[in-house]
Amino acid sequence: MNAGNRSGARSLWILAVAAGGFIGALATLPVPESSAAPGQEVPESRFAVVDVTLFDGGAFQRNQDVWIEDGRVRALGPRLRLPEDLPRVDGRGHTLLPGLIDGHVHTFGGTLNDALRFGVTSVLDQFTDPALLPGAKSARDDIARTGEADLFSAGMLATAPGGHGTQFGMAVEPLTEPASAAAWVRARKDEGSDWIKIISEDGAAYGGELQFPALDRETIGALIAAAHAEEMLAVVHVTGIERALEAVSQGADGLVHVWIDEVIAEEDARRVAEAGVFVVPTLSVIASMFGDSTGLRVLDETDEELVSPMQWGTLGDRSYLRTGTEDEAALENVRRLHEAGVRIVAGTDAPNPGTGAGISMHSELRLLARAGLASDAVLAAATSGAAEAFRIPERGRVAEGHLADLVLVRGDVESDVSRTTDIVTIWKDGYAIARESAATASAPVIAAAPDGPIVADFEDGIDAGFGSGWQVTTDAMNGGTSTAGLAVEAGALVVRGETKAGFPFPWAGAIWFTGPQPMQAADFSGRTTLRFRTRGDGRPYTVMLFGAGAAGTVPPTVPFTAGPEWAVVEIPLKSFATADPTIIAGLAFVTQAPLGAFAFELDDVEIR
Amino acid sequence: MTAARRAHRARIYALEAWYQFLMVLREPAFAIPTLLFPLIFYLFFGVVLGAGSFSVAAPTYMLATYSVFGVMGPSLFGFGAGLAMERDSGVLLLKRTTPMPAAAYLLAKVAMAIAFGAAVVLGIFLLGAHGAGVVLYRWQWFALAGVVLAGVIPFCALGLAVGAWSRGRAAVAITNLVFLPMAMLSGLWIPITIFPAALQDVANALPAYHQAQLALKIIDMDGGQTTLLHISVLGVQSLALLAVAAFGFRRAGTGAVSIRPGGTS
Amino acid sequence: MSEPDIARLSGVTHRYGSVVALEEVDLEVRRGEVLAVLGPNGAGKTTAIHLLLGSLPVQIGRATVFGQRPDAPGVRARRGAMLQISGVPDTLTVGEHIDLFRAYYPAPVPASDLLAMAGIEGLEGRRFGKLSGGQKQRVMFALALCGDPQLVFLDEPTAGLDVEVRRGLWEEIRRHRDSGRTTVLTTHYLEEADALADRIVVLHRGRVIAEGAPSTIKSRTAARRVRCVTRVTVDAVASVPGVVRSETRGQHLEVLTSRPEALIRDLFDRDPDLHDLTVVGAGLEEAFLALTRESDEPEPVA
Repeated sequence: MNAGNRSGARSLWILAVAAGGFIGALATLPVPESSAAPGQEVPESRFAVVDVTLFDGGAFQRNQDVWIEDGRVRALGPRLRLPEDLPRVDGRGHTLLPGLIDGHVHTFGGTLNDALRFGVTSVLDQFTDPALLPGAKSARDDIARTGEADLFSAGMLATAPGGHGTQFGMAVEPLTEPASAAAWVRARKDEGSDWIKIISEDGAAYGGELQFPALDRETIGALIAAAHAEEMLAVVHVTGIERALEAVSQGADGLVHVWIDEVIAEEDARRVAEAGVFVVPTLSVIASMFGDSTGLRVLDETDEELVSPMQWGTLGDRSYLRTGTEDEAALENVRRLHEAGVRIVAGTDAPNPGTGAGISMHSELRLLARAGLASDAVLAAATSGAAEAFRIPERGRVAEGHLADLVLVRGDVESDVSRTTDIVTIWKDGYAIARESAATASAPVIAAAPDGPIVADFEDGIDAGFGSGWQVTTDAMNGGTSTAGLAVEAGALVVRGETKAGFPFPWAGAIWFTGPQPMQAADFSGRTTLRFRTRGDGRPYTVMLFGAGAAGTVPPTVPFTAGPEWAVVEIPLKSFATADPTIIAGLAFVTQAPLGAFAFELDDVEIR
Repeated sequence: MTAARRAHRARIYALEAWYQFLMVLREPAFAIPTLLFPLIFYLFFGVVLGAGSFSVAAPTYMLATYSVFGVMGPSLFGFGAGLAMERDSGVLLLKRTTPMPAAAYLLAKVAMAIAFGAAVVLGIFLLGAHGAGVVLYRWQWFALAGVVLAGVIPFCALGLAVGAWSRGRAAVAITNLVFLPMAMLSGLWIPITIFPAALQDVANALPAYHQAQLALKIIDMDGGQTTLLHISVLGVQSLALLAVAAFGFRRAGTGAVSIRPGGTS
Repeated sequence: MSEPDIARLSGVTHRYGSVVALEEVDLEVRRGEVLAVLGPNGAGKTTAIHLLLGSLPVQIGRATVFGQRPDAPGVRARRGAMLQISGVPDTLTVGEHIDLFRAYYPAPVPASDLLAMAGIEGLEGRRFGKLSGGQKQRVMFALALCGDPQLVFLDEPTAGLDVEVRRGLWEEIRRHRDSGRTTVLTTHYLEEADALADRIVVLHRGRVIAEGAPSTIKSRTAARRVRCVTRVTVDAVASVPGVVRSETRGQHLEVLTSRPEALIRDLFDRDPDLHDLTVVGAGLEEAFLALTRESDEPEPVA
């Protein structure tokens, strides 16, 4: 129309072109290559992480270079002179941590792989099958590519007959008197235990009527002395303050839970500090017990592909849930102990219900931060502190000559410990860990079933001839008070017991572990039916199928009735409401409601 | 009708900004220092001296701080010196007698500061990327550009306050007195961590320091104070400076103060 | 519409601190006229203009333009102004300045017409800073006309220009006057007011001291400066009718008078030997002194 309009339009055009050019030019600027192909072209074995914020196990330092050679840290410092051809990982905007060390786990199934995929490069196991120990030792001494965290373990635990620790279905050699302590400890040493774990637990701390048989004071003292005589550490499981302080006075080296019944007095905390006793609070498992959602939040924030079925299962398991109490006492105890100078070691007690191997270490860090530990103290508890407390060599610090167990995390962890979940790369012995293959990672733990008949006929006692045996299962493992006992009579399995109030969903019965280890799944593909003979008191019974998620979410169930006459029950596997009912870790035959005494028999239990 | 009026207003804003931009672009005394100085400084201190070592930390740090410096220049001089001189020459007074909205004039200066700032930022980014091997995530490049350009808000407010309270050549001198020491003390040239503690405390009072810390936060090289702190300080300072400027204009008028008895013929 | 006057100051008093710039001023701008506000420096002319432009707030009294407040948005679009300013930015071209100012108005005059009206055809590509003083003033004049205004304020449009350039600009202003628009012009050149205005208001020390057609005002300010070497003393001539001021400068007697013929007759009577006589038209300053004296002690005008 006129010149004014034209120049107005022209200036708008120029503006649009300039803005477009500006944005276009910004888009051409160089970006790190590692962000383009995560995990794939990450250098291994011989490389450097440059210009990174380093937590070396003690403190945060900015703009550090870390040179890795042959699976170990060769040099570190600001602005290293590095060989020209050394592959570099751009560490700007990232924090490099020593591989995490979980101070309280239980190893079975795929837990070592799960742990490693979440940056936990070493685990300190507080009770597992001693058969695992020789293999663990050679694996951890070998600097070769591995998909599993290094395992250090107490092996078998020391407890009283029928005491805490006997309910999980693993063989336990209980003690009854101080005199047997020395031999017991020597047996553990011979099996390959790295330290001695002693149960001092009668269940009193949980309140209610629950009582376990527990080791007496003298036996505990004898065990600690015997361990020290063998130059082994003695750590004690406690959940109550009274037994905790007693263990401290008896010379225990560490306590592997924090107590929840009472807040420690400041002078007592000082006493613990003066005794040099470390504490592994296992806030993760305590928090989940009290309905704290920290663990689930970490799960929510995590890419689903990284989570194995077992992690899903155990972390999502709410069966442990108590309400009406708070975990504040536990947090307050940690705060007071830390302030008094007691060494705190991060540990999860995974994969107990409400925790997942590896993944829960990240919620443990957040909980420790919530208990008042500063970022460096939290991370020290999960690295150098754990290594020093349990005398684990070459780990827990980024230092010259130490193993190149490293975790590269996006962002500034010092200002926010919850950023540890944003893992860019994990190196174990200098090798990058493929994190994505969680689904396949759990595959190796599923054992193949043999071709022949799979049947438990109880002709030769309780051993089924397949799987890892029959065990009692009751709600006692979740704090309930139901009881059960097993016996083989006339070639059949007799299950007797009583369901009692205590746990919200009481149960009792027998479980058949069908894999080579308890709760390790086996692959029964090709089989379609669970068939068994049963008779009993006419109560309603239930078969529960435990899949690869082992102690997972509420297992699918199918009801059956055990009447006075022997009857054959056939249950198509597909009637268990789960994705793949042919992956079976255990089959539990239990009764639930109504409460009261029960008795039933099983025979010729067959997966066909 | 209202659409036509809106188009008419939009054209005023667009043209005012465009001619403001052309005007200063053709003014060597403005364009050369604001466009070239940050680039030359960065080239020398960031690229040539900084890239000699293996670490790319120095060029990356300076990429952020010199970008803040680059945005500070046109904001301060456009508003501080520019406004004072236009007030002196009477252009502002003349424009205020026309239907031009006052906001068009102010926004034109802000737009000019953004345009010059964007050119400097882009230049520094290209120098850093291709001269010193600076590599950032794409989001960091964009976020850095965005945060640095958002610095026109506090810096224009500061310039406006200077322009409202000083006149002509004095405004140029005062702007320089604000510009250079503030850049230095805010760590825009070299990290303030090498300064004595007392000087580091001074930085906490300077908008350029907080602006630079926000920029450094994007590349994880900040001093560790919270984002909220920096944004709060910048917000409060900007509002305070705008109030100071408003008070100055109320006192002096937009230039009508030159009409006094016995004024020039 | 009933707008008897296009713009008006009523009872306006304006102070800068203790200095009174305008005192009890009534000023009326009539439709279609060219009004010259005439006065020496510091008389209050520019203050009056800025009150009507809305760029100064009214302190006492009332200012209206088109019956509205001077700074009302509707007023701005119908008004143009050429102010006593050093100019628009040097680095933009004439065409760019005109383009920008035209954009401010809803119905601007075509740029080519503006260039013609201000007599600056061919200069549109030149930067403002490269123009001569006269060319700059013409550009400022063009900017005042951009919005096709009904009312134009020209505040000392020819100040600082040499005579020839000044006369050239008068031509443009006169042409503009002929288009029938209302113009308010301030000047301290009586000659300029005479050449351009339909009506003159004389401001002195913040007061309106005379108002009327140019010829009337001119006759009332027709003071002459008479200068000669004589024995007659300063005191002796002070009482002569028409004498405004008398003083001795060196050996010269200098007398300012509105009736030079009577004075000269009187001087020759007293001193036939007087010599080196000159009679010159007095400057506006002196003319105002004459007017002031009149307003102070009413005296018939010859």
